[in-house]
Amino acid sequence: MTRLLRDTLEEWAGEARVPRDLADRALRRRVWKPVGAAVLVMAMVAGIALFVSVQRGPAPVVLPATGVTLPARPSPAPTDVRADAENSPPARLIAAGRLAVSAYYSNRREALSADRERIRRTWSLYDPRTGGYERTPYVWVDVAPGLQVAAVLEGDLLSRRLGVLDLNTREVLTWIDLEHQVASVAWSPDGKRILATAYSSYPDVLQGRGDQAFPLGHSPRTGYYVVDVEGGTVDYHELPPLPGLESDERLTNANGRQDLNWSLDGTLIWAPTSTTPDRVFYSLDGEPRKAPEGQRYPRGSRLSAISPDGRLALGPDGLPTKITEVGTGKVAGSQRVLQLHAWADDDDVIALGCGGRCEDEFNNGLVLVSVDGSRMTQLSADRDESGGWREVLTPR
Amino acid sequence: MSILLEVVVDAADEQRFREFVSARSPALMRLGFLLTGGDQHAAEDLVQTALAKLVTRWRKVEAPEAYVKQIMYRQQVSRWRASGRRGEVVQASPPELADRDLHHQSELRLVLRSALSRLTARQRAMLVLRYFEDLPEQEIARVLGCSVGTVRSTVHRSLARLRVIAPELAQVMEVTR
Repeated sequence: MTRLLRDTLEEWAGEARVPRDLADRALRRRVWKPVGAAVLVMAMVAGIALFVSVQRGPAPVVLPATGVTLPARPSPAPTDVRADAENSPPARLIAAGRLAVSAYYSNRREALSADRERIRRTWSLYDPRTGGYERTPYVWVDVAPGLQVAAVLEGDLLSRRLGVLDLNTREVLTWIDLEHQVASVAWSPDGKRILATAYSSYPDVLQGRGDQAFPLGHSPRTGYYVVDVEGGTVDYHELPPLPGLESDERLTNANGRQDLNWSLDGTLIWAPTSTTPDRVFYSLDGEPRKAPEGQRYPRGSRLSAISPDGRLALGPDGLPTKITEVGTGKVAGSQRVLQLHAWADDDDVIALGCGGRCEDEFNNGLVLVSVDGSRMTQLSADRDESGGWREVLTPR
Repeated sequence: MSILLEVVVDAADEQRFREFVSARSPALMRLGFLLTGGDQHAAEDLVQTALAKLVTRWRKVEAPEAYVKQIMYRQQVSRWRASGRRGEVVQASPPELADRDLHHQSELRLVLRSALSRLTARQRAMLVLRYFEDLPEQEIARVLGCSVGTVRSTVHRSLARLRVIAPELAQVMEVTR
């Protein structure tokens, strides 16, 4: 019997045809998997080349805005653990230690033509009045550290109107009209300035359909605004995207969306690459800068990989993951999770845990895990590839 | 923040990935073909999905072929279990059973092939791992995440099921066991 079985299987397997483009298919598919996948979650994306010949306008365009006084951040900030493991997406605030899920979004795809798709986000924003999240009509949102205000973009796909929303009263403190269209906003770490990335067209457009949809390979990014909310100044700078897929440059980014973000200390901005290193830095004026020493980030993240006490650093994706000592590089602990996202405190990390039995990385949920991996608290319900929502972590 | 992006590999990584796929595609497709009960399209889908997952871990995986195969085994078993399908595959040219000579080996193999395609994905995966991949029971238990006892009993039941599906094999299977 086993002889017959072996012969039959061998002969049958010989009838399989081998497509020549399997590697291409896998690489293309991979590019878009993070739509529902472990890899990104809170990644701040953008892209730019150090070596691009940057074409700049004659001078930053400064549009007058009306300064507003921002509400004070709570002091001391709460640090309790708040979980919602029953609802996906979450219905109640998720928070642990110094960080909270301040907003989340889900995606939907719209067909543009027979071979093009567009991705739209729907944003839900923390609502302190209810302790839950409220769905919003905005193109993009980002909550300032302290969870008191959010920057919101009004519009359809791109926006020329940036609002500062008071989370507690749900009133917009100020609207800022912009000359250039923007598609994302990000608060500075001190919660005083907003970085808005400008594009000439909507950046989330894909070539192909469904599983075979992939980025166009180039980006329509044009520049960025730095808005000083209390000072009432709005500065625009041109900054073209990183070279795309076809380029031979060392640092490239095939994605249309290449949103800019702040360095940990708020003195520089960075743009994401789709290569290694995962980001390039600029001054606030858009001049290339070296990566700041002593700063480490999880791939694609705007949060620090180094613990608040400076002793430990988050390692790359698992499974398992590792945390090392900053000084010696020695492994301080390993954790049975997919990704380490950010430090809740000196001993605990907000991480992406496995759904089920870890057989599928696209089935995952937020957990709070200790450095030694011995303690794990479920923070959110598990979500699979299809029912995806993506959280944004913000200091409380 | 973005949903987009993450080509986690750089140009050199991508080159090595392509070389790996080029070298191992035949073996992976053969395995995928058997796991899916002879369904070319499902096999391609299975292989490319597993390869896409490999890309995300390319720098960390020490044994890429074993990693891809494990994803394929598990994905195939879980996917079919989830969708409730039972591994029935429409054969382009069903074996003509009326006038066969059961002692003719090629005829026997066609009958067995048809019977294999009617097993559940899990049953078939066990037999493929045991008799095509030649894995010991302990290894099968590890990659499928079950006990050795489960492997043993599933293999036993799968063989018994083949005899039920194709009674004409029973005599030969007894003789050649």
